[in-house]
Amino acid sequence: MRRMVLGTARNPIPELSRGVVEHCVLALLREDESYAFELVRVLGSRGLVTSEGTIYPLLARLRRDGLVSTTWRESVTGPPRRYYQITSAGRAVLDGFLGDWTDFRDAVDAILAGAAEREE
Amino acid sequence: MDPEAAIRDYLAALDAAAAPLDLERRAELVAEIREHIDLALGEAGRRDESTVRDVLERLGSPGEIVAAETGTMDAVGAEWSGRPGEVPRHALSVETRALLWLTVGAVVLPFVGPVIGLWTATASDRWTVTQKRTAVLIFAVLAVMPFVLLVPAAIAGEFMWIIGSGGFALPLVPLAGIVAAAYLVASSSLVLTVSRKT
Repeated sequence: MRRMVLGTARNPIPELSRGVVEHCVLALLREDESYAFELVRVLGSRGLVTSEGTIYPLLARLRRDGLVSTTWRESVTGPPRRYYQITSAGRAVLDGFLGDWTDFRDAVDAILAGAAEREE
Repeated sequence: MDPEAAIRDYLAALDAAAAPLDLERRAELVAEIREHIDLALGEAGRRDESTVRDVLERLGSPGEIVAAETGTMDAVGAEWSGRPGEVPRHALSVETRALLWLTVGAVVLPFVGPVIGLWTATASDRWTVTQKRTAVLIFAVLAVMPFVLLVPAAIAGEFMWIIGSGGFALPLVPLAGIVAAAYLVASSSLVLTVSRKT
């Protein structure tokens, strides 16, 4: 039984993070605007992105969905940079996600804590 | 491998993998990744082989990046096709009408029917310009052929022969429309499209 469960969900974390990373991007933009490379750095340093290049399609989707807006700014070093800002639609999506995520996390934590107790 | 060549190869592979994207987004994606590589190498302060390899590995494979993009594109496409008001405005699709004029029309109204059919086909967005031009060419060549065949006889003054030979050569005119229609069907996936719509 135990072996079967392990077999069906061997490594769910990459799968999970795919659905969650775009909300993390929105969360990072909540306080201040940022540019893609900086976002990649922060997400990468926390282990949330394994393939850094996939952030660019994700940002393009957020743009298309109107959850972020962009502005080109001159940079001190190198070419102009595209800065991302969260839109009001993006804030609404993020607020919704925060509630859902808290419920989800609590539910998973409770189940995992229960399993840990039984192990002891 | 020369690090600059490795970067060029990576970007070329990304550009090739991004072929299914629309042109504007494809160019933008390649530019974004190119800028990322430049920033990452600038931050590292080196452009040697191992630094470049590390940066490219962290980016992920070109296929992986494009897959992240196309997953989105499919979702967008699905939303669009589901939109009300996007249904074809005609009971018969442009392609079906064009094919009917080219086949039935060619027999009922030689010359005129196929010309209307080819004209109707120009409005189709499923046939490419080349396919439409080729169909016009097929029709023009086959429709003109009976007259070309008659020219030597006319020059020789063989009027009786003209009347006689015209009898077998002129069926080529409606045939021209039918062959053009057959070409349009064969050269595209339209057989399915048309049969689904009608």
